[in-house]
Amino acid sequence: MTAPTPQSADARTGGVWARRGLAAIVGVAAIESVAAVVAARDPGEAAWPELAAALDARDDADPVFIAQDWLGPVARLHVPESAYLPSLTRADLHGVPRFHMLGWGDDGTTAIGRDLEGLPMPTRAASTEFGPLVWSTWESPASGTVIEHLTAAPHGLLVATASGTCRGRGSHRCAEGLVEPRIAEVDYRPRSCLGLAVSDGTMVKLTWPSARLGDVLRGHVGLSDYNARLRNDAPARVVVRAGNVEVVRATITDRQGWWPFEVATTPGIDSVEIEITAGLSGTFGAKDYDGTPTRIPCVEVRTIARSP
Amino acid sequence: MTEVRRRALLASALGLLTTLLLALGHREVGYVRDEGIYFAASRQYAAWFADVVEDPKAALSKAGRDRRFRVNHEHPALLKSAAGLSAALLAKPPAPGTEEEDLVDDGGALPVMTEGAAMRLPAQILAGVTVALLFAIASATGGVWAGLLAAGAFGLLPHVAFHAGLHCFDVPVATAILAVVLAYRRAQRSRGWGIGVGVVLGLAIAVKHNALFLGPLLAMHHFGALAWAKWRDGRVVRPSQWIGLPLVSMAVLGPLVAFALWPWLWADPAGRVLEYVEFHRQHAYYNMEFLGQNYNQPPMPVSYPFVMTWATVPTVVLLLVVAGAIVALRADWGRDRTEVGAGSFTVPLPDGWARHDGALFAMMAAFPLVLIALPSTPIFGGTKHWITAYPFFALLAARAWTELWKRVRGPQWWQPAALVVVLLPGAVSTFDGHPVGMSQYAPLAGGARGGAELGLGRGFWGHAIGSQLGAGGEELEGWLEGRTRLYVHDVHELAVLQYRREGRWPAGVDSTPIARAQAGLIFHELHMATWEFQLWEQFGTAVPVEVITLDGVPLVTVYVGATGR
Repeated sequence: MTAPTPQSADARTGGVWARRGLAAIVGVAAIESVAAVVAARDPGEAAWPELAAALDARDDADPVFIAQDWLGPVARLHVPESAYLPSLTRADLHGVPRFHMLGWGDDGTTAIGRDLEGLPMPTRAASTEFGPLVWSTWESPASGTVIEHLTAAPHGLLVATASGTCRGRGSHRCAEGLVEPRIAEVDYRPRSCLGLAVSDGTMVKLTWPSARLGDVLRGHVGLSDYNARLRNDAPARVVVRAGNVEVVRATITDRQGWWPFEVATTPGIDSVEIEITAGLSGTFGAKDYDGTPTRIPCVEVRTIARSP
Repeated sequence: MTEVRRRALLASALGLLTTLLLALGHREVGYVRDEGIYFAASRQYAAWFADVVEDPKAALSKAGRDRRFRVNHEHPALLKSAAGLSAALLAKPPAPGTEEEDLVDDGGALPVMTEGAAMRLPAQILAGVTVALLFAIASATGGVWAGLLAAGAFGLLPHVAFHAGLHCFDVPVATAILAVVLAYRRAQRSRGWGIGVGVVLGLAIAVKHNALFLGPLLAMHHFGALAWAKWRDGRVVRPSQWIGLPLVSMAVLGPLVAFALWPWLWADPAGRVLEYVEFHRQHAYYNMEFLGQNYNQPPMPVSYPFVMTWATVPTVVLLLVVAGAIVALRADWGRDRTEVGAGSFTVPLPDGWARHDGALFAMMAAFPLVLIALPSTPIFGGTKHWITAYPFFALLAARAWTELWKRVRGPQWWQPAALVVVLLPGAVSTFDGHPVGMSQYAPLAGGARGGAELGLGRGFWGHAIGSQLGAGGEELEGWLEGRTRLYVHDVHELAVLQYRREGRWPAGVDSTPIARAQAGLIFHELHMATWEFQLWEQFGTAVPVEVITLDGVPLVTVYVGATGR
């Protein structure tokens, strides 16, 4: 028996490493091949009808939310309950004591987290899987209940600007533009709100003389939409009065996204007043400024009872 | 049959197969935004060649040239001219009423395919050439299996397969850059290629501006290789070698050939070249969704091209690329002790001198990603902007493959079996992703669903209705149920025109502004969410009538309003 030469030892070592390397490469490829085949299947096709039937048979009218934005269109196609516009365009989870979440391998924890806005995490009451789809039911007693959605059904709303009272119900025509309910895009999400499409510098005063107040008055202001935000960074001023007392005064910018405010109120009937002034409503182009109101402040307000 | 001839035949067969698959498969791929304008430009450019035949004096005058080449003059004319000529040969006549007025618009001499298919053909042929070249290069040193690995590591990537079939410049310029680099490699040892490399560079620049980077990059390699020879290997490097015929040829012939192939530049060359450079330097920003965030202005995260490469190229290919780069650079590092040849102006790196292929291929593989990663680079878009790196990925992967199999002994079937396993993830993803491969993600990223979950773009350019339009737009017509005013969102008007010319757009359906629409298409992109919400508001419903998906991930959603609106 002869001792191995250094060269052949090198070659042998190289061979061992090459064999290990190849085994690793082929192993990764095998795992990836399985992953490719799994990714290429769409088990949702069979699962959606089952989920839709189960959801249809439920005995409550609690809202149905979708856990992942990307899943939305397919979910709404198969489960019309998830396409209910007030649910899709919700402001947050305040005033929603119980709700359902539909997700793809997702019980909705992340989606809930981004809409809590100070609420404690709801508890999951139930969860059922239909293939890859997950239907979870959540309870959030701390969220309270909505007494009145002031901007969603603006009966008794008075709209005024410096030029005087705006005309119309639902859609309010002012000398400086239009104030009306809309679904606005703020931070890429749909929000039901009252849009203020008015000319530069107009202060719009929204007054509900006889609002049914609860424990809190809660609302949001955002600037819509994406393209307009790109071309106009001007701030907006927001003043909120409850029962003729100023409770909020803030200057907001589009960087603040869907800007929330909440103030404690005394339950009962009283007035609510919101003033919003957007310095500039138009957009800046490469050459000049177009004052057509396209960057639209949008506001939503609810009165909420926290106590059972 | 000699081994060389057998490999050449195999390379040709692979190239033909690639072109054939693209030509057949891309009949289902809708027209992307940029194609619309390229179709229009190609018709004009081809008309110029007809003008030259009919009335050379008028056609060659400044007015005659500018009339035809003004459209889309922000990109060179070579590929659009080839596409126009391809259509002049192979395209069926346009549907009645869609003919263009200022040119003879009655189809090609052998009308066997739609105009769009005919115009896409030159790019598809070039994609076939890339696959053939990769096979030829890799198989020459590593054998047939290494060649097939190189071909598959490029052709079986979903994003490459998608872009390779379009009438766009991205894969063609990848082919051209590969050709320049291979020519440059030969040019270091051949007088003929020393001249030829300048011509090939000119052709590449005439395809797309990415090739403008090649001169400085290859010069850097040239100087680096000579510096290495002088200071590391102790060779005598003559002053004429530093200048080198390949560099002179690229510097002189490259611009001249590119200029000659772009009649738009023939008038006011300096002014128009400056305008061209300025257009791309000040490129309009695109919106790109990356990890759930929309980016509209630089800087994009530096990680963007690297994460997107991982998310769109199978990991096994990337592992081989990294291994190949290490092996190749290590080989470069080894001291060259060969004592043959003396360098000269025409042969700057003679036989026996290290060519530093590892550094060359690694540089070409890394540069496009690094360039896009720079914080000052405009946001050009997605993976197609560094697709020029992928042929070099394939060559590096083949290098690793070759080195590994040199050291592994085993039954003959091991290598082909391993090759099948290694190429399978890309193949499955590519075929699964077709005809919306731009929305596909790599298996370990979770495929299309994984991409959506990670917040990566689901596609743009409004192409994802191609297969639904079919031969006469029947499926789209079915969704609309008699509605005629359609908001087409991201489908470019010129793409609609192209569908109309080919009789694929439903008769009587007009694209209208969203406020007047009775139905609407939505291509899901974060920054365009507002249009979807507007349709909900306008139609009073968020329930779609149809959702076009890839593996359950929505790409296009179709909404309709109440009839009679």
